[in-house]
Amino acid sequence: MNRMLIMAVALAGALALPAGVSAHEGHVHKVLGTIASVQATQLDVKTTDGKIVTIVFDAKTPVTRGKAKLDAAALKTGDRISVDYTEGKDKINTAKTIKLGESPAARK
Amino acid sequence: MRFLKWAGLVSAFLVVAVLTAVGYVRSTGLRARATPGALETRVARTMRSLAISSRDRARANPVTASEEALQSGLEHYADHCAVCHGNDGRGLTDFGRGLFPPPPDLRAPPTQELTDGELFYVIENGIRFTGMPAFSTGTPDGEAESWKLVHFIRRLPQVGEADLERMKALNPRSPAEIRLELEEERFLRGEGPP
Repeated sequence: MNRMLIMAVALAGALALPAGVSAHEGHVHKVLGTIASVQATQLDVKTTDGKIVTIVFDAKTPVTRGKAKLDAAALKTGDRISVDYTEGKDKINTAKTIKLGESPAARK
Repeated sequence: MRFLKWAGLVSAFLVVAVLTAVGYVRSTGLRARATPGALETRVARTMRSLAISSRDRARANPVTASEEALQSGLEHYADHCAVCHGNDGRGLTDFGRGLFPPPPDLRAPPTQELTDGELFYVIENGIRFTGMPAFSTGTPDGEAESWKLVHFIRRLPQVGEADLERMKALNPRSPAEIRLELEEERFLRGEGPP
């Protein structure tokens, strides 16, 4: 009985380990925060818990505010932002979509 | 003597078959994150073609390609198929990338050149040794849904932004994803600390 249990646990471990190792690759992450700095193809997001996440983007990356489509020039320091991104093997975070928060005027 | 000759040939064949199988298993590690070679793809497509009878292949779609049928197909696709095939049919999803073989690009000729009957057969019966499940319910309503899906698959090469947005809203989401989405909406509205 014990031997069967050990074999079952070993088999489950052998099956689970490779899945766990590769589970994060290509997975889409989301970060909420404010734009700490922005350059032509890179932005730093200060997250709600104070960390800085650097994310690269290009001209094809969709930038939206609500339903309106914008271009990267709309990204301004201090804006609230939500970014969906993937982390590459080279540890570079690449934006898939960038959503900007409502402008202060629209909130009033 | 003749028996021994045949037994030897069969044994040799079995040894070669077993060694080939062991070689395949050892060299590939049976990993799903790989791309099938051109020969493997051709063999698999030929086998799929052989598996579908000429009667099934020749079946015509009994559902009229109305806008209502297309929209119903879109909703069904977004809920059942997009998790692997992607809303745009390219198969570039987390699940799709991890399958062996990967889901085909449904907009491309190898799929679009299949007959309606072949597409229906694959939806209803699935394909063994792949990630494609059988969706047959054995009911006329279930069959009608599959035929509507066939209409929508034909539409995929021309699918537009509005359809993609609609499908996104219909894609299955986990409770954690729904929570995250609500949290994002509140944050972007300016609620809570930045």
